[in-house]
Amino acid sequence: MLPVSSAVRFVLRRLVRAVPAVGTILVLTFVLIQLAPGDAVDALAGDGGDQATNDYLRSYLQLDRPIWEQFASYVGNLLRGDLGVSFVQGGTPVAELIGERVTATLLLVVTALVLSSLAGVLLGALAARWPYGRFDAALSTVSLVAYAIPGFWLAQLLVLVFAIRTGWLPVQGMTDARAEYTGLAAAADVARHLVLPAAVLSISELALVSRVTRSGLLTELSRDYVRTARAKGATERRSILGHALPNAMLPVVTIIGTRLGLLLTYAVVTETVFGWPGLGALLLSASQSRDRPVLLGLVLLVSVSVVLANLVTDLVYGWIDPRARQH
Amino acid sequence: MVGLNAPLPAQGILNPAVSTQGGMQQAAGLLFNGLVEIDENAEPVPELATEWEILDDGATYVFTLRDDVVFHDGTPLTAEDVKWTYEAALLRNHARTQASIGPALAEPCAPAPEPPSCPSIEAVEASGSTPATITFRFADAYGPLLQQLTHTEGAILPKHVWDGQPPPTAALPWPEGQDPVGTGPFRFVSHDASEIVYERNPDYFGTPQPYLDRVVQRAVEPAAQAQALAGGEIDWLWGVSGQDLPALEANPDIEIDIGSQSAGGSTNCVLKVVFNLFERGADPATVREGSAAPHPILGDLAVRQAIAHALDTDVYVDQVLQGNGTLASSPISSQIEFAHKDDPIPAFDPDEAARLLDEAGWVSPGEGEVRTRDGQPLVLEMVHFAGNESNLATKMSQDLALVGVELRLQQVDGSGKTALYGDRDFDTMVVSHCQGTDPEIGVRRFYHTTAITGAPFTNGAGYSNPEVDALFDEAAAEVDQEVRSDLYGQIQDLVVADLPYLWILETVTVRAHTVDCQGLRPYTGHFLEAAFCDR
Repeated sequence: MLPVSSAVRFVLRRLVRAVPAVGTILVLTFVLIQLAPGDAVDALAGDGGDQATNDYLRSYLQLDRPIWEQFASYVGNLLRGDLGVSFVQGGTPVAELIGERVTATLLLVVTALVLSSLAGVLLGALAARWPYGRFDAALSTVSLVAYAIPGFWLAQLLVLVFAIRTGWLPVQGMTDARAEYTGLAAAADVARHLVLPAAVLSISELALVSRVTRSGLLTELSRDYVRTARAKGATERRSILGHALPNAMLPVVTIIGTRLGLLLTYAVVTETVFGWPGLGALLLSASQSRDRPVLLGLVLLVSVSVVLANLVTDLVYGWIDPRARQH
Repeated sequence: MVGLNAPLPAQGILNPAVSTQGGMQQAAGLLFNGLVEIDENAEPVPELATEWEILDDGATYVFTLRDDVVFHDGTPLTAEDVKWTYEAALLRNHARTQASIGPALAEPCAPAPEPPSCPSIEAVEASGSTPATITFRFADAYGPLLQQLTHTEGAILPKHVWDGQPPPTAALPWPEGQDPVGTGPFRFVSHDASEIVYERNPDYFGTPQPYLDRVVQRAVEPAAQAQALAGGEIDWLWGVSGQDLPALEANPDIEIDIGSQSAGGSTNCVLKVVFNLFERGADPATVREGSAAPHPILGDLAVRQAIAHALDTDVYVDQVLQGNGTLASSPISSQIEFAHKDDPIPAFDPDEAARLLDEAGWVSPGEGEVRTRDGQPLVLEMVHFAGNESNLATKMSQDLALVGVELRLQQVDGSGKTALYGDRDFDTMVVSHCQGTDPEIGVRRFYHTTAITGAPFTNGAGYSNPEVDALFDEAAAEVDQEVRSDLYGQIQDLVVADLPYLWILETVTVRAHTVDCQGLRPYTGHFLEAAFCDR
């Protein structure tokens, strides 16, 4: 295990290094929103607004100030921990808008991440146990298709089969709009609604994890230490799970960690298709209405999560592989 | 009962007096009332006002208020609430109401950010057995007022909620932490990321209505809406797209309503193409004065006529609207029957289109190639939304290519279109022109010189014809409907000759509901006021 003080130093160094990256992302987002035609007042005005009212709104939202001043004021508030208020949602604080949706997105993304990691490693291990056999060949084909399939299309297909034709699962939402469940019944209701979106979100991830696990295991299984283990009379299961798998996990952990950002991106599409009340719909409506504070808040959240996920990945890596700690 | 719309309006913005965003108009009918409602024959019927008197040959309107109306927080409605709602909210922020009623009043209202004040609107509170009244005084006779007081055009707010606070704006429609409060058939209960919940207002003046105990509004992605309805998860759908219609029509558990009111609560919409008659980016003020340079291509009437002749519109209803709608036959919607006159755009005739373009100097270098004049190619940009507008733009670009005109399509979202429209930074643009129930509400702002303001969805062509202006002014001041009908007929004859826009398709809105729920009023008034569900 890494000594605590050097671990803390490592974490701090990484966090400090992330600051310029996150700052650059903020500046870029700020500029990109500015480049899109129209501003929040255009979204607020609706059909045929009055010029005097629009001017008043622009000065109220401080959109009439020079762009660098607006940026400086945003960063100033941010450093005080204030994400600002939405331009178009009646002055609702950004933190509140994100707060009431982040749980739904986390539930979806974490479920998909756990599901794809566990099932992916299991399937990959099974394929490596009998390489080039019937199961391995089937898994290769299926995972290739699963990896390539567009999520929104698969979503429609699953809805048609499992919601419309059979009626087993709901079409949309996170809860049944008619019922008012509490306790366990409410949890079961959410779980029922979670099945299809989580399946769609995890499917390409699952394919990738199982492929990487399989090839990693096959490499490790041909190494001397596994031959030694087998020679010592370890069962095949013990050789794979106890000896080869921990070493084969290194690239798998890297993949799972670094793909969190991508998963958050895919979640936007999945949430939209299934009417899942997470950050996806907020992101979409905020970009359409040029709601800059909300967009910046979301971008900040995602970029910080990616930085943290990479950090956690490196820590886990170091924990699994003592060699990595030296670097 | 689950109503549904996309996107879901945020709780903070549920104030239809200061914003005209789509989702909000649907909430408006649940939470709010206007002075006067419109019935299914477009006739004004009493709502918060029990009766009205028209004096001074149509220049003064006196409304008598109901004495039994209370807001959802228990406060009784007063004449001062009505007056304040107009001067502080509607006449400053409501896009349509401030543009139509505002300039017609005898004395102008104080603009924001001055304290709200409209000397031409007078409130007299009830005393003894005399009910409260509210009076509107106009500079001249003002015909369309009774059509402009509904809950979508004139939702009445509780003044006391803003005591000691700045009046509402689109950016801050309710004081912080304040739930929406109205007088309507349903009360606001809760709002979260996925849905808005309403409950029956037991103190509603329309008692025993409403019948429903609870209404949930939820945003569902358009792709999943028809499926959610077919799956029985929702009862009511605001708009069904053409491709989903056959499946829903075949479903015995679903009933379909087709009408002319769009999802935003706007009525009688016509898909139009706006020709920018002046050079791109010209300042609206110079366009209004007529001192801006004309558009190098579209400034020429012959080119606009040629574009109309090139369109094989017979197939447009099927290919653009999937069969849901009709060809537009006039600048004024056929649904505004008294004012509509048959004045279609020039008919499909590609040879005539080619002849007009040749005459205008745009010659073809060869079969299938883009025409040029003095080395300049005949290329126009067309700005449009996704969906039907995109279908129309695509179809037009195909038709125009056959006569040597290249149309470059640029798809934008709402803010983008509003900004381009305001800056006049476009050649041509597809717009859905929703005209309401009277030409004074929706048609005037597309054709009158004073409506060249740069504000979105006003006179974007930059069209200015003193004769047309005079006729509009005359029609607004006229109370006799037959005389008005004749005046609007003359306007349409003039406009079709000048062709500043192409009116192409009248769109309809298809709504669907489960057979379990009946009594819905899809196109007038409060759509759920009399609805009931049996399950």
